[in-house]
Amino acid sequence: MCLSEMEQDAITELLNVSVSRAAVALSRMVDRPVSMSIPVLRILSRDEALAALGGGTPSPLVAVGERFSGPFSGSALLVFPETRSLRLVHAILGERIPLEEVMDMAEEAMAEVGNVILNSCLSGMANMLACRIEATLPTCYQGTADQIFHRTIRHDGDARILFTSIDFSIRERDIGGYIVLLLDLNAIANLRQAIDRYIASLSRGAGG
Amino acid sequence: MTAQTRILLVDDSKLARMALRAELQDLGADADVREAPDAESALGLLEHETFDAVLMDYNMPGMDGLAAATVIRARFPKTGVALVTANAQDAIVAEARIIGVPLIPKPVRRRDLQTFLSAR
Amino acid sequence: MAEPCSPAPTADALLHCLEGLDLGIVILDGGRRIVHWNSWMSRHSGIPRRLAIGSELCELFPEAQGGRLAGAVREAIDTGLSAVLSHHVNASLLPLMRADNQGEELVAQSIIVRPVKIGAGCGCLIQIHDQTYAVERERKLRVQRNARYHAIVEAAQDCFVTVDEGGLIQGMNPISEVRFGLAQDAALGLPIGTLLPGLEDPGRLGAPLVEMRAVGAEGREFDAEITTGSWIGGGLRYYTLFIRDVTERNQAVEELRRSQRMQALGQLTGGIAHEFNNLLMVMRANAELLQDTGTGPNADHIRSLAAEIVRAADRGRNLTDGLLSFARRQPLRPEPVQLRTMIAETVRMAIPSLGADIDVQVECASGDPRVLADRAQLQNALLNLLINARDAMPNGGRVLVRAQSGPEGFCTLTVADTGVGMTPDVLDRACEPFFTTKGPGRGTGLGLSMVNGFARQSGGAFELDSMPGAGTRASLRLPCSPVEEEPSAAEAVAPDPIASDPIASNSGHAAALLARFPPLRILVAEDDPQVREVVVTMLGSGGHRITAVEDAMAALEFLIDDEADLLLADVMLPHGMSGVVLSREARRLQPRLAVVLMSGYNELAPGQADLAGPAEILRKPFTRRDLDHHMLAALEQVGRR
Repeated sequence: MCLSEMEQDAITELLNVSVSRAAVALSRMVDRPVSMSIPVLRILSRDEALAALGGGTPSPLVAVGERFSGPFSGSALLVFPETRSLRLVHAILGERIPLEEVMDMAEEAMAEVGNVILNSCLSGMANMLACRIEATLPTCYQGTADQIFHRTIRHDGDARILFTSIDFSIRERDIGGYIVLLLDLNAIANLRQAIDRYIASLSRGAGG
Repeated sequence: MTAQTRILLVDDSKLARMALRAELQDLGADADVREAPDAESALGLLEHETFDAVLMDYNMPGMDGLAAATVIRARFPKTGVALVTANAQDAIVAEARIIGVPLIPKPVRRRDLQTFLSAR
Repeated sequence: MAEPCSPAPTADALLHCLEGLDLGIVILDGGRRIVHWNSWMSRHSGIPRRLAIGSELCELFPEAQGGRLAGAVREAIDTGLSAVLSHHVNASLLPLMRADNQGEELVAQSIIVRPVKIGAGCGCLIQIHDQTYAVERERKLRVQRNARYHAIVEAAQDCFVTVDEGGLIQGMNPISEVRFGLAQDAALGLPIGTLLPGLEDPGRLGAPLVEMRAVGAEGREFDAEITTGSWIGGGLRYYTLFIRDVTERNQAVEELRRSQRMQALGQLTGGIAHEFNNLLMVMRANAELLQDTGTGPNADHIRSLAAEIVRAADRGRNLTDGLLSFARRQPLRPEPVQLRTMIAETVRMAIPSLGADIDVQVECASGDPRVLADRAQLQNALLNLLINARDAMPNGGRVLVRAQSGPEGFCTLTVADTGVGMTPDVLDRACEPFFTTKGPGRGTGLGLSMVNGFARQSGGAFELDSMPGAGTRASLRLPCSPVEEEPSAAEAVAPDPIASDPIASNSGHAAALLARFPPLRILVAEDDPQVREVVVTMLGSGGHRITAVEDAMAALEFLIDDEADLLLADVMLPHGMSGVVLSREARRLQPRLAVVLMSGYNELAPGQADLAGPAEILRKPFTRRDLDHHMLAALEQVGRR
């Protein structure tokens, strides 16, 4: 899939705004500043995305997934290495809570944190593109990248994945993860249309 | 607003700069609007030209918006600076307030832009 | 077949079902106004439906303003997103009360917000689940699960420290805080290498049982025995280290190992000394006989050769004395000894052999420290230490002899030199008998082992501190003597029987003594044929009637049939009956029997003395004069003289 430079720039800015909102939401949850890196966008095939997540090792991951529908439909996944997800949960629940209790609540808390981050992203996009994106409740998955993809992403050779690495850091703890938006070809076409429409709306006066 | 207000837009995203420019146009401002893709080139431009206002993205590669705004406040006190960001965390809002830089949320609403510019 | 289906429920019926749900249901329209409020909500919020309908959520619950729920509602209505909010993550959601209204207990809740179509527009559905019971159940389970664990961990006297894969500390029990002088809060996140430098590399975590040095409170190091348990929680590997301070145990083990080695050596040397005494006895007695019997042109020459043999035998006895004192077989005669005087005397004695290159300084603490010890042995010990100091300083140097009070109940006598010092290896073995670094012929290797044996036998201790090039400090710790016991100056020098000139036991003197004996019937019991022979020879010139046997049974058999005036028996007899037991049995047969027991030692152990009854102890090797003396005394004991 080829995106024009402008489209690429637009999606990056969409994600930038979205991830910024996620950082705001996160910082409210932990009541601490959350620093974040600038998201880096890549468009990958399923296998490439798998490789990027797994990094060649079958290390355990935690993912929170939501399906969304609107002008473009697909799945959104927030993926963390399991170790970092626990750090994130620990940071959110407060570090005074004993580790064993954090572990008891980890899955539930992770689903909610994922929900907050993914919703910030989706609402950020909907907001900028002035459209409606409906999404399901979050589901938490654990396993290797392969296992998680198997459960969340149908094997569709044409599907393209908007793959974004995000790095949050809370209380000096680095919590790097990935936001994965899976879109089929049809959805990508629709996303492009939405973006192009938006760009056109901005350019309306530029010429005159 | 005086004629030919000079405004500098600083954002790594062209789309974001376009959005700002569109909003400024919709405001009907008679403005000379210039653009810079990062904080460093913005500071370079400011060395040679005078601007009434700078609209600065917060999240940029290289120097971030808050640091650049601090420099501008110190070196070009006559130039108004606002941070444009979706990252309105309490900590960032507080920091911006300390250096006296208003925060305009992204995506930009015309109302917020108008408030900032009329204060110039 | 199947019953016909009931018609689909009417909207009213459905609404009625909604009312019956055991969860809160709130439906908002696109303008965020409440359009449905079920009776669960009325019950738990105290807000009746008629008030709720048409209001905004934040009007009813001002605390929800700007919170997560408000945000979720906005995103559901504006964008179409769904959200979950749980009590775990959100400190407070809606202020709902328990229905059973026991006090002011709030409902622990989880809330689901999702978009719904309301007519043509978009609204949102809020479901509120009461999690109070679940929370309570979880809490109980957790308490149960943790109770036993904590009971053990909190009370344990061993340190429990949990670290993650990277070796960062995740938790520790109270005793760890004490041992390592580190509060749990301060320890969290620190690398374990801070406490256990051997685990600086996290790759070394997980070994089942290791021993290493640990850095405890205030930097004090200790020996730690570490057992590691590894477990997985939340996909992460953790290691719980059970850290036990084994410093004391290691010291005890080392001490035991050393003392076992010493004990083994002691037994060995004791045995050797005993055998050696028998040989010396034979040599010495025969040489003495040679002195007495020598006639003819070469008599003087022979006598002087024999005297040399006697002298050599006496030197041999000094050696066996040393061996025996190491083996702690030499009974001691502790008495109060003034260290100041004793040191002065000994140093005076030693100075000629130390040489002019050695500068001896004496420091004696005020208060006149005195110890309870065998004076002669103590002098020997100090002499030994001075000689060692000399040998450590071939080019001369300074020796500091210092007497101090303390530690509590003890006095310490220190001899420090500025000599070559010892390597740790040498230091480790310095107190073993026969271990010497001196060249052949220069030392017996017994000096320090004797000092060590003497110190221990006296209830004290002996310690060596040394580093190559930094000299050696020998500390002899002995129990203090109670102050009221005034040692008399007359006792200050104990007569040493060996120090007396062996040649003095000349034939003339012996003959004079012998003249006082009537001929006796003497029974000799000695297993060593050579010793037996030489004793019989010594007795031979007295006109006695002598019977010699080799063990106690033979002696008793003799005594059943024949009378004897005197029994001369070795203490150590073979075949299970000692000279001590023999003397008791012999007295049963013949109550007025005089007894002389020959022994390698000066005295009998207290139990043996009781068993033996009145008996003279004759120390091997002995001279004829000694023999006569003791026989005479033994006869007096039983009133035969």
